[in-house]
Amino acid sequence: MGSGKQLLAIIGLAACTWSAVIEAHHSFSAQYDVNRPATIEGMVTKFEWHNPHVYFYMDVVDEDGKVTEWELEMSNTAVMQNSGWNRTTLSVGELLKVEGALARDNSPLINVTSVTLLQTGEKIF
Amino acid sequence: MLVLALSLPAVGWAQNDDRPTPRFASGRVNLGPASGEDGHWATGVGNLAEEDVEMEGAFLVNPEDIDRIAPFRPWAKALVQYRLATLGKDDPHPRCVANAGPRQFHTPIGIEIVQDREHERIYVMSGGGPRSWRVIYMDGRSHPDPELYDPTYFGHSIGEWVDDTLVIDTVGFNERFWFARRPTGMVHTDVLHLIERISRPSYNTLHYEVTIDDLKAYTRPWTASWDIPWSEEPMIEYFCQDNNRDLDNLVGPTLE
Repeated sequence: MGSGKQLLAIIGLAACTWSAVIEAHHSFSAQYDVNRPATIEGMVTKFEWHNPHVYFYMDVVDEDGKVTEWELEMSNTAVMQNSGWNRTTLSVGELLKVEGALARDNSPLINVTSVTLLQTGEKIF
Repeated sequence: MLVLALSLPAVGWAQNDDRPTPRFASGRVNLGPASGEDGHWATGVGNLAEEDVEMEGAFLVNPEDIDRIAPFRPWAKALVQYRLATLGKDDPHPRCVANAGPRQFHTPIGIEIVQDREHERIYVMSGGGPRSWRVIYMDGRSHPDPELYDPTYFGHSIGEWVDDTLVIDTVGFNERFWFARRPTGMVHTDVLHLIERISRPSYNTLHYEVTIDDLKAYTRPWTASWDIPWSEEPMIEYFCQDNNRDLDNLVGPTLE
C-alpha cells in the first residue's frame, strides 16, 4: 500500500448536502443515502474511465490500521468531460480527499460529490 | 452543484444563435444536422406528465400530485406509488433494457433521427441505455395482425408527415420496460398505443408530444410534451453494458 498506509481514514457526517435525487443511468437515491454523507482520504488504486459511470478506487486505512478498498462512483464520461475530466485525470498512487454519499447497503462505496488533491489542496471536482 | 451539472445535456448545447428549421431540397423538414454539420438532440429534459408537476429528478416533490401525472386506474396508481416509494430500485433501465416509448425522448446521452428517404424509413438512434435504435416505417404499410406480432420493446411504428409534423403510430409493445424516465415507475400494458407528434420549430428545438392510449392502465388517453435542445457535438459512444457495476447495490429504502 505504500504511503497509503500512513493515511488516516476520516469517515464522518460532514456538512455535505445535495439533492436527494441525482439523475443518472440508475436511481442514485436507490443506491445511496444522501442523509449519510462521508469524507474519506486514501490512495488511488485504479481509475475506470467507462460508461455508464466513471469509477475510481482508493485504499483507505482506518484508525486500527486496517486497509479497505473503497469504490467511488461518478457520472458518465460525457458529464465528467463537461467537468474537465478525462481518462488521464487520476493516476494510481495519487492521494485524495473524497466527499460523497454512502451506499445504502453499507458496502465501501460512495457516490462522489467532490475530489481534492491532498498534496496541493486543489479541488478537482 | 452536481445536480445542476447532471441535469444539463451533453457538451455543445446550442442555446443561442438559433436558425430556421433545416430542410432537404424537397422542402421536407430535416430532423438531423444540416449537410456538412454535426449534432444530435440532447435528451434528458422533459416529464411524462399530463400537468406541470414539480419534480426533483425522477420523483414527485409532492406525492399527492400523482393524480396530476396521469388518469391512473387504481392498480396502476398503486404500482407507480410503490415504485416511487422504493426510489426506482427495480427499474429495468439500469439492467440495460432498451429505453423504449417516450422514454427514448428523455433518456440522457441523446438521440439522432436519421431519415432514410430511399428506403422510406426513419431511425431513432438512442445514445443512452444499450445504444439501441427504433424503426419507423414511412412507406404506407399498416400494422401487422396483432395475433401474429410478437410484442417488442419498441413496438411497431408507422409514420407520416402532416405538414411539418412527423406523426407516428405505434402498437405492439411488450411490458418488460418502464416507459418513462420522469417520473420513474410509470406503467403500461400490452394494449399501449402511442401517437407521437414530432416537429422542429427551429434549428435548435425539437418538440415532442405523445398521446398515451392504454385503457388497461389509464381511464382515458392522455398527452404529455416537452422540448429537446440541439447539441452541435456528435453524440458520444455510450454502452450501458460496458461497466455496469451498480445492480447489486440498488437496494432502495427500507419500507415501513
